[in-house]
Amino acid sequence: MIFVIRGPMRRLVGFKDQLTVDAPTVHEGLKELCLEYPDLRRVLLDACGQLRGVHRVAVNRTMLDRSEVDRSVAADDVVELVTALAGG
Amino acid sequence: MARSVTFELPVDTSMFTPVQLHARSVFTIVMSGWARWLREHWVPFPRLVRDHGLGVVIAGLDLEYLRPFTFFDADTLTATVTLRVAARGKLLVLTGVVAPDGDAAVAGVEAVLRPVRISDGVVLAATPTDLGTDVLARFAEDEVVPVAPPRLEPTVDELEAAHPLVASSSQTFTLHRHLCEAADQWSGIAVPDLTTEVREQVVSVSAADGDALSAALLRPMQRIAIEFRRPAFFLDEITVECRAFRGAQGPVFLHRLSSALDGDALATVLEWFTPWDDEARDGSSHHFEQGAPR
Repeated sequence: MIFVIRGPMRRLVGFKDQLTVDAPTVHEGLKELCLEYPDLRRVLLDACGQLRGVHRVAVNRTMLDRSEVDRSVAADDVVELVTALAGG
Repeated sequence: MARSVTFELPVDTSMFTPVQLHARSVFTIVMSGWARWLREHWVPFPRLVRDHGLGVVIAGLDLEYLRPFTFFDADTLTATVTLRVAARGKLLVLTGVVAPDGDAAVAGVEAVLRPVRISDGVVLAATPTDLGTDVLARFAEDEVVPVAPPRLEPTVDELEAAHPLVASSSQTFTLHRHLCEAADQWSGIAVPDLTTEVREQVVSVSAADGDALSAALLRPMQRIAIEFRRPAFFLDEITVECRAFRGAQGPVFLHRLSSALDGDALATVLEWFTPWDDEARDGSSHHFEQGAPR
C-alpha cells in the first residue's frame, strides 16, 4: 500500500510525499510505518497500538470507520492519514 | 465585571498600511491579549496545552475599524481584552478594544474560539470539546453569555441577493510556514494576508467598475469578518475565490477559501470598504458602542 500523510504529521516522516509499505491490512501497514518512523507511533497509535481517534484513515479517497482498519488492501491502494484538527 | 487584561504597546511602521492598522496586527494584539488573560486569570497558555491538554482553534474573527487612525496619530496603543464563555461552554469569546492612550478606541475585535482536547504533545492533534464543569466554575455569572455569536452565512446570502457583482477572481496558494502556527496548522490571524492579495488583484485588473472598487486601495477597510469551517495545514494548497460587490455604501469583497485538493470549504471572509466622509462618520458600529462592546 502507498501511504500519503496529510497535515501536521508530515514532518514526522520527513515530508515524504508517499511511503510504500508491504502489509496485508491497513492496521498492519500502520504498525510497519510506525516501526520505520518511531516519532509517528507516539502520535498515531495509543498505548494499546490502536489508531488514535483524532486521526482518520482513507483508502482510495474513501474514509474508513475506525472499525474498518483491519480491512485488506492491495499493493497499489492509496491510504491517506488525515489529522482533521490541531489545537494550540 | 468580566475580567480583562490591559496592556500597552508602542506603535511601529510594520503594524500599518498608509491608511490604517493591518488587520493582522490587530488580530495579533488580541491574541496576545488571550495569552495574557490566561496567564493572569487561569494558567499560562503553554501550560494549558501541555499540562491540561486543552487548547483552542479560532472559529471566527470580526474586526471593526471604529475611526481613522494611522501610524503618525499616536505613539502608543492600549489594548483591553476580555474573555467570556458562550453556548454553555462550547465557545470562548474574546473581545478586544484597541485605543491610543487616553483617546477613543480605533478598533474593536470579537474572536470566537472553540475549545479542543489535545491528544498528543507532538503535533497537537485535537478534537473539539466543551469546557467541563471544573473550568466553567472559574467564570463568574457576568462572564457567561447564553448564546453563540451569529453566523456569517446570512450576511453573505443577503449580500449576494441584494447587490450587483462587479468583478471576481481566484488564486491558489501553497500554505507555507509564515502563515502557520505552532502545530503547522494555518494561523487564523494570517488569513487576511491571503484575502488582501486576491482582493487587490481583483481591484487592479477590474475594468468594469474600477472607480468603485478603487476605494479598496485608497480608503481604509471598515470591517473584516471571518468564519472558519475547517483548518488547513502546512504545504496544503488553498484556493481563494474573491467576488467584489457594489454595496450600499461602498465595495464589499466576499472570499471563499477552499481546499484545492478536494474543494472542501475552509473559511468565508467578508471585507467592507466604505468611501468614508470622515467628518460625517456617525461612529455607528456593528459590535461596539462608544468604543466598548455592546
